[in-house]
Amino acid sequence: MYAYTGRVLHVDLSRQESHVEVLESDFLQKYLGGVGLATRLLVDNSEPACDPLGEGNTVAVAVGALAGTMVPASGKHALAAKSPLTGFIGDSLSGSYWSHALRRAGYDGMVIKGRSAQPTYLFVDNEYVLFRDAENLWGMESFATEEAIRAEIDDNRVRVASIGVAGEKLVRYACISNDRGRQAGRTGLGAVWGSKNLKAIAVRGTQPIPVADLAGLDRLSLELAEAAQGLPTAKYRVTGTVGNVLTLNRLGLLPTRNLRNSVFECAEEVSGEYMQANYKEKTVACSGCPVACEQVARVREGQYDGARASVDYETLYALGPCCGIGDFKPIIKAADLCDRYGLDTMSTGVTIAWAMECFERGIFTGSDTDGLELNFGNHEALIGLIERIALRQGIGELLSQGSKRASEEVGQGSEKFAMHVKGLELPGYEPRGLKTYALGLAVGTRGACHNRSLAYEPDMKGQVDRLKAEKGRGRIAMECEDLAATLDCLMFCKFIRGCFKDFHEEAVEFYRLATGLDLTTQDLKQVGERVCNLKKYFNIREGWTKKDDWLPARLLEEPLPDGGDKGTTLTPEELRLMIDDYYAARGWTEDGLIPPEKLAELGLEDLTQKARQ
Amino acid sequence: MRLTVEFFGLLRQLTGVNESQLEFEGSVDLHGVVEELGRRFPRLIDEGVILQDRELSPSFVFSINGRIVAQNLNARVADNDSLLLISAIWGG
Repeated sequence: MYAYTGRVLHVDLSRQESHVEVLESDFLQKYLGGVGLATRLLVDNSEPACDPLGEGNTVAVAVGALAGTMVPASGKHALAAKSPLTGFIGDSLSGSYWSHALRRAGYDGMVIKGRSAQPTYLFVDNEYVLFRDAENLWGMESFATEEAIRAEIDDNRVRVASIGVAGEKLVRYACISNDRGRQAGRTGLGAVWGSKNLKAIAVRGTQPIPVADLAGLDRLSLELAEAAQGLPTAKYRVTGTVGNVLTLNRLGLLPTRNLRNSVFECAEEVSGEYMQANYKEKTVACSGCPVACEQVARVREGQYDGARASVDYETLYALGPCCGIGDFKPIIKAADLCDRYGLDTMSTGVTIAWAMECFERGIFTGSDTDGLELNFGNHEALIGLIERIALRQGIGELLSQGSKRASEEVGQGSEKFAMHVKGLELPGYEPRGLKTYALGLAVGTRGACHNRSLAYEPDMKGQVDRLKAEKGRGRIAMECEDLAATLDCLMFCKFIRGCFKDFHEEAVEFYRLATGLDLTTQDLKQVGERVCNLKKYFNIREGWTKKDDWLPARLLEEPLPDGGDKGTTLTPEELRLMIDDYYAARGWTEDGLIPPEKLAELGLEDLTQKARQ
Repeated sequence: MRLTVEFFGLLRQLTGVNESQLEFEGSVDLHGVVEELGRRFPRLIDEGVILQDRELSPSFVFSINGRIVAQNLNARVADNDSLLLISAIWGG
């Protein structure tokens, strides 16, 4: 077995102990790596029904199957834990040098349990694991933490993943940052680290990663690198994902002002094209990536002079149009603040948008908001709230819980316009105009996530009528999810998915050349299905019921507000039809539960026994 | 017959315009639109957006009056239709 190390590092923060578990090749072939391996490690090493912010929660980490090799755009890692935002599986991806370093240190993954008595950072120095005092780092922002740890160890090869103040303060959508600007952003895993007093994991990995067929892998990698510099990725290279803004706006699909609108009158001013012309500083690539999608923007004038951040589409949508902000400068400032405090930009923006709507409806007054006028479009309120959220001060205490908990606490009908699924705030595509995608959001195991679902693709490619809800969408959404899960196990960046002529054929070849292990394309497809079922199993274990697969009331009670398809509705009956169709396609019961025979078909029969226990 | 094609992002760079007004004698399908765009904006051919035989790169799709059309360029367009030429690759 090549590429894999066959080793998982187990860390007990309470006891300050570690040991290594050896993984066999047949186990690795079932889960591949990344999100599949991390989920399986979580299922096997976590306490059912634990408090997500208690000592009993476990964090599993796994690098992608191809991390550490020369395969382009495959250097990523996944983290999985019980999410403090949703109470269900929280799986989040990041990438770049830290991912490679962990494998080069000799590990395919990590399992982190317990809670340190005082702030600690782990230093994984190849085979050595050190528990280091992090008192001097507590309170430090993520970027500074990276630099401080490298300075302390006195080695620039050390790669650091860390939390900011938001994670320390247990904000339920705090993120984990690595390599200065890559984030495992969603589902609040930064708060889980914070609850464990774990400030950072520094890794020095200096060992070579042998591959099965160096010449063959080199040839195939070069072909993929060349394809990844062609038209399918040109959009990412030229404007980055913010290039989506104008198209979505033109189609009436740009979620605006907490989804009260679907067309934004200031779209041109917050477009990728405008950013390129006025604010772009440089383009950055993850380690080993030929695409280089990350667009770094800087403000050079006015009250936000000096603000600097990577701005992608989801960040821009959430902190911009969703909050009614039509000026790029405060959006860059807001993204900069989120990165420094260690906040998920998407949940931050959408939660603030909910608060703005509460204010405009009179549910909040100035006395609730520390005097901030939370009208849509007020950028000073946006900036002021981010700091309050990160520090959990004033109204920030309420908003640090996310839109689901905050709306349940506030009531007064505000639950109807809290834009989340299972507690995870919505991404930046208008579901009423993209109905396969709407289904994907509703049934997503980690909540409202376009990345785990990918079901916007058949809608946006015109493969289906995007305004129609019908039988058959269940299978389409399932196949999209399975593909996303497969990508997230091999951990190919999704931005290069359009560069393969036949993804499954080429992916098994990459896998064989790297690891020396054979998979059929059917095996590979089944990995995706297995991992989706495994995540669902985790959710069921944690109390999931059918009612959790649903959409915010606004999307089902109010028609599409703007654009050429204004007036289009997504009814509860349509959503129910598609969800039932999805459960049937998955081979689940009418209540969305996984029957034992389905688990057995996927090689997960041991879970039936676990469930009985 | 007149119609408008709008461009965004990369395609704005390649064409140098935000939109283009096209005129045809008689009815036309999307192959005809592709041919005319290639004639007006040769960079779309040079960069591989427009392929041989009046075909379109699979990285792009048309939207006709908000309806996204899959890779079937036999779809007819009508007078005053509004077309968007957009990326087929999303999100990530």
